[in-house]
Amino acid sequence: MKMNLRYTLLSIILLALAFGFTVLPEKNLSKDLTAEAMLLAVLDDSRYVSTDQIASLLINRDPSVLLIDVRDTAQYNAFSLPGAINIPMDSLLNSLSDLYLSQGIKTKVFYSNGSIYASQAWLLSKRKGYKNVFIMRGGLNQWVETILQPTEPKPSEPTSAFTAYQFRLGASQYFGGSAKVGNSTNITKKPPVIRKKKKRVAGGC
Amino acid sequence: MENTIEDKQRKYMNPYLAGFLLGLTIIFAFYFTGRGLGASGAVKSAVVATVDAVAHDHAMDSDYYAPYASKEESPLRAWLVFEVLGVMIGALISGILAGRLKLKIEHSPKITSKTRLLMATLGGILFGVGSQLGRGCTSGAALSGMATLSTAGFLSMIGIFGTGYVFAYFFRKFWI
Amino acid sequence: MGPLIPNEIIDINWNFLIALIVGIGFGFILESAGFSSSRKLAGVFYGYDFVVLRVFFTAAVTAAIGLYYFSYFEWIDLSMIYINPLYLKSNLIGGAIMGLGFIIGGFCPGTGVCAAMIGKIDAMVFLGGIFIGIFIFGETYEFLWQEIHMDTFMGTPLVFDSLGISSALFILGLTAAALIAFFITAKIVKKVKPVDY
Repeated sequence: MKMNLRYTLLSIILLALAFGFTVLPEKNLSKDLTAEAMLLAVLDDSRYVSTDQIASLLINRDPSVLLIDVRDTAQYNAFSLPGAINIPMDSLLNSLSDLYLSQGIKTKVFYSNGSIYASQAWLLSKRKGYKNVFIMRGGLNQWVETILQPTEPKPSEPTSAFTAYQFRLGASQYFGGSAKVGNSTNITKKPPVIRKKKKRVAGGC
Repeated sequence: MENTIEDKQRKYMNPYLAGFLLGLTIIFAFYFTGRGLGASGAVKSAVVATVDAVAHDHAMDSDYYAPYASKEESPLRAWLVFEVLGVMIGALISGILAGRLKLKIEHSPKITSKTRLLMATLGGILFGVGSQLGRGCTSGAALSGMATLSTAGFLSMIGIFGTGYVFAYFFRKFWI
Repeated sequence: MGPLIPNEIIDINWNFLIALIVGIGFGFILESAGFSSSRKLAGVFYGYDFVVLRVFFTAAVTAAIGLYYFSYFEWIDLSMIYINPLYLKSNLIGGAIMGLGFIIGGFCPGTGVCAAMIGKIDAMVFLGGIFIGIFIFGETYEFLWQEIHMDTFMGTPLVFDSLGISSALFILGLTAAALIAFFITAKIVKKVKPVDY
């Protein structure tokens, strides 16, 4: 009888432990990169490419760069960077995308309207083991602000800002932006196609 | 008679305590190395090492041996080989502590030692083949596989013990 | 966060030492529980001794509960641990061959090693049999086994996903099943004629 009591107690403990999982609050355990790896990646700045760099690469028609638009197809059709291909987030992991992304030699740059979707695409690509992937910092919004409609730097800013501005003015004309040489008034109107659209990301975090 | 059985039983660890400790060992193994227990893999390493030493070209020819034989280092430099070395040490310590160290052939009184040895060899051969086909034995596939809640682990367990029960009736005179 | 070696928190050079330590624990427990006796092991098939079921099931449940709590508290990343790949045909057929080997030979490889170490000659012979069996498998792999060995690969699924239930529910069910099995087998063992071994 004493033996039975002991085993009953042990059984109750075991059941209670097993039962614990059903009452513990749901926790979103990241199945992607580990927390440490994620932190390192976020701290590491080298995943970003600036819009200036992209503009320069495009003007020079660098064949090793592959721009990837991760927005949905409608937005891509309305406006996209020259030569960019469209891989919407929900088809990022399919086999056709794999053909593009697994080309280790090409420099692959993700962009979206802001940085968020492109960052998510980048994390997924890292997790899949694709090499040579980057994010265009600030996305198309940044592209419009810096390349298509560059603003003249204030006189107090360093000379590098003016050099960049000169480049941007040229680039703006190249890409059909609204900046004109000698025109110092700020044009704040943005192309209507580049509006942030709320969209649930398939396969994202 | 009753007393001797009792004495023997007392010497063995309580099975639930043993199971609990074994569970902790499995957690320890996964926490440190990301993998569970095993046994047949070490014998496989021994087989590959032997074949590689006797006939290297033959080993490189085979789809089965080549992945292990082609590596720079010896197939015996494997995790499971060291783990099984540990099993040997652990079993020896326990056997010495409990006073169970004794050369003998254990068999049912209904069969001879010779029959037992024959059956043991046959059983071993079957286990050798089965463990390779099923990618692991009772410890590697079934026990560790169940601990990680893998579907394959549960299927292996069902395969092994289910078949055991199916055939138990035909081999009863070897055991009881 | 664990697993420590794959996450490079502990140097890879410790791997073999940890393997040895894990093995010592494994061997000590198996031998202490009586797994070095083939007739004790075979008891699970005839109902006179259920030590295999008790140890095996307790260990699996303990380890599963432990690992999932470790995962919950983020001490271990379960996506990094080894999950047995599921090849439906070879898992089941391999398991069946092993089951036959178990009832004929009376050991499995791990218990065979333990028994051989404390002087069971039948266990030493059994280990020799495994060696021969693996050699036969290796020599006949391309003609006999390769096709079935590689057939019906289904990834590395987890059992609760395969069943379509949550991990929490499955663990609770598994634990309950184990406790019921312990209770029933304890009844059975009292009814079956004891075997002296």
